Amino acid sequence: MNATHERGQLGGTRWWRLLLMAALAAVLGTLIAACGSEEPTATPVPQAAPTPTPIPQVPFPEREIEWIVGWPAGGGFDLAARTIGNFMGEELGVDVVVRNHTGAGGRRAVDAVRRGASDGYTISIMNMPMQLMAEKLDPAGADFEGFEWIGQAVRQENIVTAPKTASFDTPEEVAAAEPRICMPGLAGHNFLVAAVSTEVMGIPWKVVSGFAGGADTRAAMLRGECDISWTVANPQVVASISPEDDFKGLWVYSDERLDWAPDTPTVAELGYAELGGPKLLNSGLVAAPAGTPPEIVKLIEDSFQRALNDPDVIARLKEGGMEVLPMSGQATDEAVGGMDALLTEFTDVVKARQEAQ
Amino acid sequence: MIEAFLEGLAQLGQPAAIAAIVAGTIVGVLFGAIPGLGSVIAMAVLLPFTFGWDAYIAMFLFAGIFGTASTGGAIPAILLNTPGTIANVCTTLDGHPMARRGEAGRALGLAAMASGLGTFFSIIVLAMLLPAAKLLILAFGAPEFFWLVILGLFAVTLASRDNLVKGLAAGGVGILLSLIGLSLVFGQVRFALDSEFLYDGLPVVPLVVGFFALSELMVYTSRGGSIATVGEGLAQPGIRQTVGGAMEVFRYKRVLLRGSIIGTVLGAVPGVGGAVANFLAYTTAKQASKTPELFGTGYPGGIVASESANDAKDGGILLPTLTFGIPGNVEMVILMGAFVLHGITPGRQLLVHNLDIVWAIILGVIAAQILTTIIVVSGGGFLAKISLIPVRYLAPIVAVVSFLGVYAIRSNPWDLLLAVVAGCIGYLMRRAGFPLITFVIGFVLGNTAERSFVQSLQVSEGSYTIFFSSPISIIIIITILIFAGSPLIKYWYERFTAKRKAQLSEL
Amino acid sequence: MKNVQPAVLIVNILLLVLAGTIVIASLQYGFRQRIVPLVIGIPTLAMLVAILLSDFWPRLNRILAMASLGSLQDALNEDVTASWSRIFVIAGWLVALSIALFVFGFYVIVPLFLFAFFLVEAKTPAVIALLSSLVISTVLYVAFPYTLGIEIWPGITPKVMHGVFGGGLIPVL
Repeated sequence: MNATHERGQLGGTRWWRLLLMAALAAVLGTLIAACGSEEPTATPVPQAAPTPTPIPQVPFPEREIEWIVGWPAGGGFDLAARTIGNFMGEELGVDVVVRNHTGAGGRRAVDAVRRGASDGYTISIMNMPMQLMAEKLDPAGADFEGFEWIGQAVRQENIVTAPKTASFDTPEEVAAAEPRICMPGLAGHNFLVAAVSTEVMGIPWKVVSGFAGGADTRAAMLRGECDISWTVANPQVVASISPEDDFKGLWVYSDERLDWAPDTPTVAELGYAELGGPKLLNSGLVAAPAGTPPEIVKLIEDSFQRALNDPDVIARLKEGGMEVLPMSGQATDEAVGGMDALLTEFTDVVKARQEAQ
Repeated sequence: MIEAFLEGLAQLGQPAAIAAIVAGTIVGVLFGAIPGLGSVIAMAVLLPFTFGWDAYIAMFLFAGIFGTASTGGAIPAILLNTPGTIANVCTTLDGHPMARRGEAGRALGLAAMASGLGTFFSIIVLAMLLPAAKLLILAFGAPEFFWLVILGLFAVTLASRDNLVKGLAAGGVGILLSLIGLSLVFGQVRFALDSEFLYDGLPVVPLVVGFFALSELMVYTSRGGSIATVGEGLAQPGIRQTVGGAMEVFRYKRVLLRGSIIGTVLGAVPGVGGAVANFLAYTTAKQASKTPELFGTGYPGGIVASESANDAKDGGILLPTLTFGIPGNVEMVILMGAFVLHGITPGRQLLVHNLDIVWAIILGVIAAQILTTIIVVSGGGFLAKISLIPVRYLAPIVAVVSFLGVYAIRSNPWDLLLAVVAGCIGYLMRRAGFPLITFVIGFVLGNTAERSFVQSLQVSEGSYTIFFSSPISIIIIITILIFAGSPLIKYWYERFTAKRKAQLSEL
Repeated sequence: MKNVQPAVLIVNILLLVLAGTIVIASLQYGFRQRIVPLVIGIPTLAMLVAILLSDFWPRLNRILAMASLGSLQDALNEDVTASWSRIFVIAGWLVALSIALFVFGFYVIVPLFLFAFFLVEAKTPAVIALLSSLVISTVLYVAFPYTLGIEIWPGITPKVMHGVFGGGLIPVL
């Protein structure tokens, strides 16, 4: 209708309006800035450094360090990255900026370490052992060889819960009862632990999946839509197995009983020692790209490890339901090797469980 | 209960609390108003800022953001025919024609007041239902959820009344495209061509920004001039018009109440979302109206229905979040992240141990919404003047800001190209008479429908009777039949009587 | 047949291809995984084919009109009837903008695009176009990356200035 270029009656004369709007936006922008900076951000007080930082051969860091998180802001690993990054930033004298590159089940964080520049300005937190499994399941998946591991940021325990009214307690009773297993999704950490455990314990794979997180699965158990749940032990789960709530813990995967669940046995006590220990625990492991100069890796690793010994950092992560268990880069590398061995054994099982639908 | 309420109220009086609510409201309205951005991004970017704040202050900030974003989203919906958030889609249908007539101020007033009253209604319902939340959540299982989603899909038939076949076809394609990517219920990635980009499915934000913001940009830029067609006798937007519009809401009490109820109820069911609430409220208002032909022509009732519903969902959505820790949407996931960050355990303990925080959020949402209504009504006259700016100055700014929003959602540059492709396809679809709304509703609900369908069968271990075995399911099924059947019956009846008359007159 | 609109034809074929691909691809999956794609997909395909054929077959057109509870004559509003050449120009601006953003990033392209659009489309004097594009860009940068810490894509060109111009890691497609 109006192909001609019409200038309209207001053309040219209303410039001040645009400028006024730009000015308004600027005022609002600064207002937000003011509100943001008014409040003091938490400054973790650096403890007496356990090791004095060696003077590096290369000037590092000269600008901000980007910490890639493959999950949205507000999640556990995001909280860990921000808390630890905050401490490291104070110490290293540059900003450690957390970037949430979400998508593809956290694979973009792995990708950042695999393909990113190996100059020390990019590090990544990975959700293990799950992301290792994801790469194994994908024929074109990457391997984790050569990453410069910085350490373990946080770790969460696994626990199996069921309604208090459930008739089963031990793995044998569970296998006999053939319960429907509640799963938020047939991908992810809880699924991995459940798939491996049910295989080892001989529990039939009957699953109800697609819930919107842990709270939704607990509601589903109370509705009687499913009967048993594998989950990471976040504060909500911890509260749900308290005496006044409706759930009980069946077993945990740690080496020793957990202080918040003294009545819940470990898998080792129940005769499944091969499932215990750190292999199946949900760990946030931090790495830099392969080929990052060793002195830079050392500098980052030292600062990272000091952050994990800081009481404020520990307290904050504990509030978020995560356990801090410092692990050197070397030890992390070995732990990844242990995960790799276990997962290689169970890749086909996990694949079959996924395709059982 | 009372002590906690008073505690929350006392916290609200602090200067820092007031500052947080004001800041949250401004950010919420601004982010809501920018297509692509929304309360999710606002909350995600501000979450780290709240490190070390008092928990109350942080909650006031977030309450300010998520409570007001959909009101902000009404602003571009009215002025530019571009919904700021996906829950404002139906506001465009009547808001924009008003703006074209020079009545943008009136439309903004209507939207602001309807939003405010919708929020108020839903928050009161929320406060009353808090003790009974457990019953509600336990009553709503997978099959009930499935039927609710189907109800949302059937409303599509009402929206595409003039063009049922094309509307249904577009909705069907929307559903099919929503199935791309990882399905959590199956644990498998389908239809993604081994692409990492499609692993999580087609991203909603670039698609919606392309469909609405960019395709509309092509429409008004090609039209030229300004949004409000300048001519003799055109209404002049101003503060008087806006206040008049705000007062007009009270003439549509029934529409307002119905919209608020639909918004609250659908909000309370996790995962259904504001887009569906918005859509169902609009279509039911149109169905129930004595003058359905006025809908879509700049009818005040349409704005009232749409805006009351999408803001009432904020109260509803808090119900499962605060009482059970079940996040109803992505905003609530971030809110729960904020709880954890501030050492508060979300879930059922919240009502026992942190009732004061619950009240702080409730009061925060109310305070922020009152503030928003005041801001939009008083600033409406000024905002409405945007409709008088020549679009050739407006268009490049809208384009740039839309792209910023598209990139911000997940920092993936491919999304920029997807948005442009969606924009071109969206334009062609409009030109070919395929309604974009039914496509978007199908896209938003398709995946959820499949998930709850399969989940129900997993629960029942394969038996289909589960779909018909609870009273709530039956009630929803009957509603669906009424919904789907009434336009058909009405149409055939009209045709029949017309034929009868014709035959009689022939005789 | 005379009044076949090019847009209708293009969209119809596009939607057919999209829906058809998913329906055919769904055949490789198990029963529960293909049930929804088939239940939704087959009627959708049927409707799309019917719409496509109705332009050539008046009888089908009448049937569709009846099923649609109204006429198939699209109740299009007059807004979307601009000339195609004008639409191509505007779409061209958008496509160019998105590709330029992808390659060179926001920091460089936003002021350039605003300047170019103001100059060419809005026919603004060069000085005003330059000033306003700079002011608007500055406001956007102050608000987004600077104040809120929202990441801004630097583009895929070799790194020139860290984080600002070039050096973005393109995500795997």
